Amino acid sequence: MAVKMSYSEAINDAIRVAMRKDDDVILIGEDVAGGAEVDHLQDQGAWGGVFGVTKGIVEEFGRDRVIDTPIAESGYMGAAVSAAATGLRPISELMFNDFIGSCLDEVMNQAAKFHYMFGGKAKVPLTIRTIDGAGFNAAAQHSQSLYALFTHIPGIKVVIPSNPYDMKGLLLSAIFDDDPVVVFEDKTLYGMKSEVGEGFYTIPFGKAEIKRAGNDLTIVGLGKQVYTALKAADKLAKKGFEAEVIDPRTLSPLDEDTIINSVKKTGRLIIVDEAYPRCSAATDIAAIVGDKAFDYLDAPIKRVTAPHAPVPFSPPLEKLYMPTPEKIIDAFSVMVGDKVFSAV
Amino acid sequence: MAVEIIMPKMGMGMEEGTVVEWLKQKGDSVKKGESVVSISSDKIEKELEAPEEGVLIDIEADVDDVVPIGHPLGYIGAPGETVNSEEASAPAPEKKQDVPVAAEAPAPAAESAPEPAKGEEPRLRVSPAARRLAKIENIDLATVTGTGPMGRITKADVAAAQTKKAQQPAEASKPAPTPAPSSLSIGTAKKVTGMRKVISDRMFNSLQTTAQLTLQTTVDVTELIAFQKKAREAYQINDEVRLTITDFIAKAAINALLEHKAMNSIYEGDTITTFDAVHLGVAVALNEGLVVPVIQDADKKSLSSISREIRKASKQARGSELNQLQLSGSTFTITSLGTYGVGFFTPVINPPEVGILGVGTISEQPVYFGDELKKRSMMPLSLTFDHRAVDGAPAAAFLATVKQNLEAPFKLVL
Repeated sequence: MAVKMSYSEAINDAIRVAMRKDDDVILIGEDVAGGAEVDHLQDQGAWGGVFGVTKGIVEEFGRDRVIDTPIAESGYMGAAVSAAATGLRPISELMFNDFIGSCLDEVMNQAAKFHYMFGGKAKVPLTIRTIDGAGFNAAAQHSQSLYALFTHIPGIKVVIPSNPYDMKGLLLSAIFDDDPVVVFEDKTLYGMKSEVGEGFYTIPFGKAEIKRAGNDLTIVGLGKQVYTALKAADKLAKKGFEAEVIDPRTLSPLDEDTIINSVKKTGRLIIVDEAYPRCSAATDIAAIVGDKAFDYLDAPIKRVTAPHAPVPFSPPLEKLYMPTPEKIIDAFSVMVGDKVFSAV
Repeated sequence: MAVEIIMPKMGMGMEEGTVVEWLKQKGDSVKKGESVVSISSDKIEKELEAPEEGVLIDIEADVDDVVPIGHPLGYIGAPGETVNSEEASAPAPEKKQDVPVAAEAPAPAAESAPEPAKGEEPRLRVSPAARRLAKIENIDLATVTGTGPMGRITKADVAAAQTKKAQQPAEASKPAPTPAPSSLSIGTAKKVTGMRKVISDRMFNSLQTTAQLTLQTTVDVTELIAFQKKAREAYQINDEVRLTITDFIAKAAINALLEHKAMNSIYEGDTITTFDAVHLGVAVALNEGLVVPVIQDADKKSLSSISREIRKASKQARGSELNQLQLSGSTFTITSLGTYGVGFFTPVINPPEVGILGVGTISEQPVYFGDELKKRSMMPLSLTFDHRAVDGAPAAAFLATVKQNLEAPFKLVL
């Protein structure tokens, strides 16, 4: 049975399903319950995180399993990594992915390395939930999309769900995965609703979804940019070009086969990513395809990304900053040339 | 230096080809671009052109020999040259002075000539995909016009050049009928070649190597016709989309194939491969035969895009503009004789598929509803399936689903 749920409700539901299934699952972070040590809020959740995503969870599972922490990322992230290494399955909430600098050592140098450095004897089943995404007028320090930074590091899995159904299935996969996984929650998607399965289900990592089939162009859309890609595909279809749109769903592992097979069919690739363009996921995918499908490319690979600049606070500038369907169509017209693009 | 004539790759699935006829014999001189040998794959027959001017100095593969792609069929070189002598002379070039063969002189000259010329010419812009296709199809990129940005040659440009090239020898060979064997003959005898030969081989092969039989059913399309008229009016924004009954039948078959995956299979060797994706072949009649363009990933497409693709493919087929890729990889085929007044028939499977749906002419028939007779539009459907792969009951269930889909047409647009 499927029920209609928002992206935010799907996260809440996944956490509850996991916590009911396994007593080792705990939730830890800043204000994930809220109101700790405040007498009249002691037994209930006050905030449920900055966007209220985890609201109500403390009432069901208590403060022993839903732990509010001081504003000290390195402290609670260190605690979560250690708890994972010693037998729990913690879900640690890093309020904004922009704050990773305060606890990068715990993630990059400890969590990501234990399994490798202890010869497979240690495991770190840690899930880090964190918020990313621009378009919310939240300025340069709260709007970045830093998934490429984690994808760069071996030993960490990276998940970028684009809809409520995927979010729940991928988050449950993350929680029950024995490696550290970072799950990115795009803040602008929290209100988005779709059908979500009831109870426990998982979506495997490294399996992209083809959102739309086509023979003329492959568009890989990362996170919410899959919707920008779909809008561009609709517009291109009116001009007679059928684009195939792929949502990779996870960046580490990455489903290279689905992307490469699609490019072999279409001969053209655009990657749409709202993150910075240098050393990014978009650039990485372009390099993989350039390497493995060179002989099938009929045009240069294009990336439609943010510019190499911080996310602007000014709403009109932020709009200009983001990928748009028009930017994708412009890139396509450059790829095929005016002669072909305007002929149809 | 002798140049190889190699067996080209003419389609995605092609691994080997057969020598049909040598149009030049050993020792014949040939001009660059002249047809030398005719070869066939399981889909298409094609004449290969001489890559260089010279003499056909050796033939490696005889008529009916099956040769893997990329392997040499013969060599073109200078008069008097042999394939072995060329190999022997390569490591010891000073020997050349002892060999009093005048014709050897132009060979190295021809080899070195393009080098400086290349340096002067502007760089040819070619996409990697176009370069790859040109190599496979043995097409000289210098003869291809680029339509991409800054004149870049794209895959489509090479495909267009290939189609043009493929059509020329076919037309040239047409007005050369084999002379009648005796004066008794009154009709016109014509050697079976080209597309006719491909169809002939494939259809014979289909009936000889499969266990095919045909199921028939009649579909009440009264509502479908009304629905199609309405849908057509509503969606006819431009000429691109004009929903036809055929489009609805295609969609009904696609949806039924998703439910009955066994019908969406191919039988090759001793293996049955069943597909999740439907690549739908749609038979198109031409003056000289028929072709089956393929709607790739048809299960992921809406009715309107299927309609658009069918229209586009039929148009391209009639203009001989389809390339090999557009003609291969189908998992199921639809064929219609509806415009000829034919009712039921026994379509022949398009191997290695395991099913083909034949569509007959719609006619008005009296049909009982309880005790009452009504005038209804009825359409005959004939499903041929390969009993080696699918049994009667599942095939009948598939046909029943097609019928249900067509009798509740609104479901096809949901």
